[in-house]
Amino acid sequence: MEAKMVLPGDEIAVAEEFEPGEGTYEKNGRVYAATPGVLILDPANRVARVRAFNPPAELKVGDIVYGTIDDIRGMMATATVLAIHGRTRQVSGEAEGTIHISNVSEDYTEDIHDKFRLGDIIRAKVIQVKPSVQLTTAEANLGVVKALCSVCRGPLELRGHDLYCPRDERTERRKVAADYADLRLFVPATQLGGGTIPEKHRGGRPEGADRGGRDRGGRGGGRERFRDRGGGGRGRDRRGGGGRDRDRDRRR
Amino acid sequence: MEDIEHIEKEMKLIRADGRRLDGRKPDELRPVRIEAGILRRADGSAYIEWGGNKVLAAVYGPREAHPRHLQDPARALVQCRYNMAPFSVSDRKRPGPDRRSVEISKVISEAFSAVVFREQFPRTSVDIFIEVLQADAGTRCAGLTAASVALADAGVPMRDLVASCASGKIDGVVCLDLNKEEDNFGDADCPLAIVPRTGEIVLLQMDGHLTLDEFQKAMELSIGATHRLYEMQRDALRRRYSTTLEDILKESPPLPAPPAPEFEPPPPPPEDDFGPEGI
Repeated sequence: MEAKMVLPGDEIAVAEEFEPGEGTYEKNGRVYAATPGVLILDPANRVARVRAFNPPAELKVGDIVYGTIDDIRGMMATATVLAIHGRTRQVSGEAEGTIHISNVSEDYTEDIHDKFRLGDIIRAKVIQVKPSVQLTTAEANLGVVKALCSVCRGPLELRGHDLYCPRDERTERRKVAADYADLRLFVPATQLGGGTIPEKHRGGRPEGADRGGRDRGGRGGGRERFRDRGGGGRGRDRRGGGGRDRDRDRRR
Repeated sequence: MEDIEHIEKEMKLIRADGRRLDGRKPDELRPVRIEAGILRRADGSAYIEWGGNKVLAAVYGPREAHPRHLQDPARALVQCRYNMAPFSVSDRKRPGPDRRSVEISKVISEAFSAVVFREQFPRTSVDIFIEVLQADAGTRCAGLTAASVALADAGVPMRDLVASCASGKIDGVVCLDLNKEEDNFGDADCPLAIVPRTGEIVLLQMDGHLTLDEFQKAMELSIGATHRLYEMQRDALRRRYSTTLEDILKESPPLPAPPAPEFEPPPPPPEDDFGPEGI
């Protein structure tokens, strides 16, 4: 099938034949392109899509992102997403993500302060965008990519599994990314684990279903959103309950 | 300056053969050239030369709206800044926003609010910057036409491009696309912007007086011209992305295609008169 360029306002399909997908809109029973891109008519799913040449940098599930840690609470850390790996455009839309303690590292996290400190620059993966942005660093390539000494604010060096400040001669613990100090910033995101969603966050949906669902319902069809919230809520309750107990134990 | 009154009486804007001072017929447009994607830092950009007008347009966003209290939790803001360079007119223009440029910014942002799918990007703003480098009447139409291409270049979802052109009356004759002299010494000027596919009017202003018949004639001329401009806008976008399309064709996976690859190197800037670095 040949790739066809479409421009905003081009009529690309009839609504009876194709549903309006990503980069399109429907009006009076006809489907039009909303952005310059390549037309993709998917007869199997009956969806017409336009793959934009220059899409806005919205967070999508599976994206590898960079951000700074703004806030650390008992059960979670908050990070502002500053950039998406492989994109030069400014992030549009919701850029405030949370990392639950269960998603901080691959193994059990006793105290989140052993993994992140305020101001750390991290590489994370987006695991949820609706209703709130959730990030994970529980992969080898994810975690802190740049951290400063909490005493002198000098850069920390990697020494073994920990970070070391040569000036104060002290070590600090972090969840460091595998390529700390020698960052692989220009490799495709897929090499850093982008595009895949960890099993426990998939919620029984096929990969990429989030994107399709949003497009079809014109950004958040009721059904999709409901399913999203149901899955997320269940997971959070389970994990949150365990966390609270643990926290209480430690305080005693 | 008191001479202007004197000149006005002497000024003949229509020659004996019915053509205008620059040799155009009353329904003729000045030469227009549009180039898309010429600024590297902007999310989307365009440059237009329209007769003596030279206008740059840049689009950023959708991005987080600042100041925060302007954010709309339900939709994106469309903000526009129309600015004339101090050197864009023969008498140095004092830099900074004035009454005129604030008004133009407002009407242009309202025109684009009508076509952008604002509800897809809550809490954000789409920022449009229009810089007039050289002015020769009709800069708001030129700016709007260029900004529309820049907006599409930025990938902002929109119903259609917006095309704009003005008509006016000089020496009692309704003419299309007035130039500086005709605008200064003519009787009326009437800029118009439409959504060409649907014919919706998104901007309509009038300076001076037109009778109903004259107004209808002016609209007829303007609407005809906006359709020609629409084709030029589309052509500019096609040229901008033809190399990208070829790249996609080469590496294109068999369709139905999976979602876009995570990493796409930015397309090489189109080789144009401005060189690889843009202007």
